[in-house]
Amino acid sequence: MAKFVNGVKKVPTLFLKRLPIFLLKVLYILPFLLFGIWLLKLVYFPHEVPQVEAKKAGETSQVAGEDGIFKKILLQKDVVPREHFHMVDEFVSRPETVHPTCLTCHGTYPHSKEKKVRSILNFHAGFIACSVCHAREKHDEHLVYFAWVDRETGAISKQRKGEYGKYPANIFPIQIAKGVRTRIFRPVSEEAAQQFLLYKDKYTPDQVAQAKAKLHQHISSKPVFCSDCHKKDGYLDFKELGFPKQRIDYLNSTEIVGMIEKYKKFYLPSKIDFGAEEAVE
Amino acid sequence: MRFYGLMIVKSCMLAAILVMLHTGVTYAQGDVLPDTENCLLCHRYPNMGRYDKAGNKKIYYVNEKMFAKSVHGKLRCKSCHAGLDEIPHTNVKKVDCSSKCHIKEPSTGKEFSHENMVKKYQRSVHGADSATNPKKHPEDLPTCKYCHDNPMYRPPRDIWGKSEALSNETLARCMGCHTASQWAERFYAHFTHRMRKRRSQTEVVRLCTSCHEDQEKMARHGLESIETYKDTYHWIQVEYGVENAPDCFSCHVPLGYSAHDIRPRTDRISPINMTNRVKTCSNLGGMQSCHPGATKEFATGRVHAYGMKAQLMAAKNNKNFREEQDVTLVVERAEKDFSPEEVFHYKILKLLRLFYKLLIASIISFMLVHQVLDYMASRRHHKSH
Repeated sequence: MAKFVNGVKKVPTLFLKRLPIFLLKVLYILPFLLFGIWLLKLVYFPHEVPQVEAKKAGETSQVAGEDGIFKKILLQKDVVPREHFHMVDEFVSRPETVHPTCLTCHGTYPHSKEKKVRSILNFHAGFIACSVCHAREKHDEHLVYFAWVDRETGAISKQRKGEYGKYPANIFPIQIAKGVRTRIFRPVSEEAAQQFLLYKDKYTPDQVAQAKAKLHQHISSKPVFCSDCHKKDGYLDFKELGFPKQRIDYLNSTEIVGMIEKYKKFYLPSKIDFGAEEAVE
Repeated sequence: MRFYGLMIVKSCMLAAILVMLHTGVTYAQGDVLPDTENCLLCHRYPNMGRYDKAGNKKIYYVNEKMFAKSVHGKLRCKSCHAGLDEIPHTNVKKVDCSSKCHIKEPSTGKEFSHENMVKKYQRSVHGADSATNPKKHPEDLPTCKYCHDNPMYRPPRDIWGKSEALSNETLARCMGCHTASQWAERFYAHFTHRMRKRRSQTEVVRLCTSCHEDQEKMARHGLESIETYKDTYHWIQVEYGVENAPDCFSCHVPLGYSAHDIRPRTDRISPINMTNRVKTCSNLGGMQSCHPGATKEFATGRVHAYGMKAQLMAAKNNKNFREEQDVTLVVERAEKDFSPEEVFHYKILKLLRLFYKLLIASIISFMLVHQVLDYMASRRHHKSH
């Protein structure tokens, strides 16, 4: 520490003299220290735990009671179970920069009410933004068309890429502002959703209900259903969205809609041509 | 002459096109599931799924190309999932691995089934066969899928190190007689798949300990958790990746035994029963021959370190033992399992451990005191000069 003697700064010479030796000592000790740390790592953490087995280990040591279940849900980070029997891949949980806002609260599988179609609607949610079907009245008020929006870059395109739900883009309603500029039409603004999430924990149950009503004010009471799209000149223009003719014929056919709407018991047809959907790079 | 030349060129082109088409078809077929029920109509979409009532995420997506290359890739969906006729699939039966899956087993020509394995498993220590082996907590027992997933056939070239050429030549020899290339490739893949040990030693231990280290679960079955294995030289070898290191299967499923038929050590056919120990330790004829010269005295020694049961038995002579300890299943089992000699061994080992702990603590304390005193002396010496 520097001292002032008669107004002159006096540098502690002993400290400066010892500094190089101290540094030398540190340099001498450092390799041993690092070696020691490496040795400790080797002794106590010699292997990475294989993910699958580690997951199983986690499953067995559950905390009893409801707390345990909710804690387990909180700790679930590996959303793609690597050991899934049916070979799931990265398409199950693709990262999205352009994310349909609704999924922040409603999750990957937002449909749960209608037993008959919930899973089928959920697979559509994998490549169709919620606002396409759930804000149909608002589309009439705006100049809106449908296009693919790249999940990562946000680029708007009418060119379909990929196949069978494994598209690198989602279908969004696109609003034409001032006749030229285009932007994604969002009936629930991202800012409003973020605000809601910010205040949610502070709200009373009544306030939550109020906020939810406000947040969903532009959501249609009757969303688009299967038969609105899967018919000739339906709600979505499959040609505009880049689907091949054979595939459009199938998408517009009545087999699937009929299966859902008419029959209680349906035996899947095996002789029907479902129209190939080649991957477009 | 020119006409013949043109003919030859045309023939060659046609032949080339046919070969290309054939090759294309072959490769394409290898990636295709026998989806005669059109399940992929919906199930090929990645977001096919829902949350069930218990809050579990149910993923109904099937990656058809990957699944086609898996060991179950030639099965139709209904082969395992019976009762899928109705939409929504409300009448689906739980998958039963012992059912017949309409694939002919080539050695007998009969319909293939895992029935043999399932029957064996039900009789084993992990099975829930209530008649022969009643279990108080059958919900704790591992199901088929707990240990088995659906592995993909790896490329045959992996089998002999990196000798892709050798594998290609072998496969080519097979195809000399077995001309259906797709069948031959799949059969070869199946054969080479079975030749490999699928899990590494560490993975085997992780799998077994995922249950057997759960103290609560083990106590429900009168067992002690097996941290005791991790106090052995066997585990140290596994942990440090020593080749030929013994994992759980090495002793509990040696040559001639099945992982589906693990028995308690009291069972005379168990490989860890005292009567079979020499054979187990030597494992002669097996890929992993650990102690070829094992004697009876060597083989009948203790393998796992002493654990909770030994502690309970050592404390048994305390006056308040019964009052202090709940007479749980563990105590009952410990009373059956432990001989007085073993309890005596445990006590000696405990004393030795205490002795060494004290010795090490005293040496380190002495060293520390010595260093401090030495440092103080050197400071005093430095100041005086």
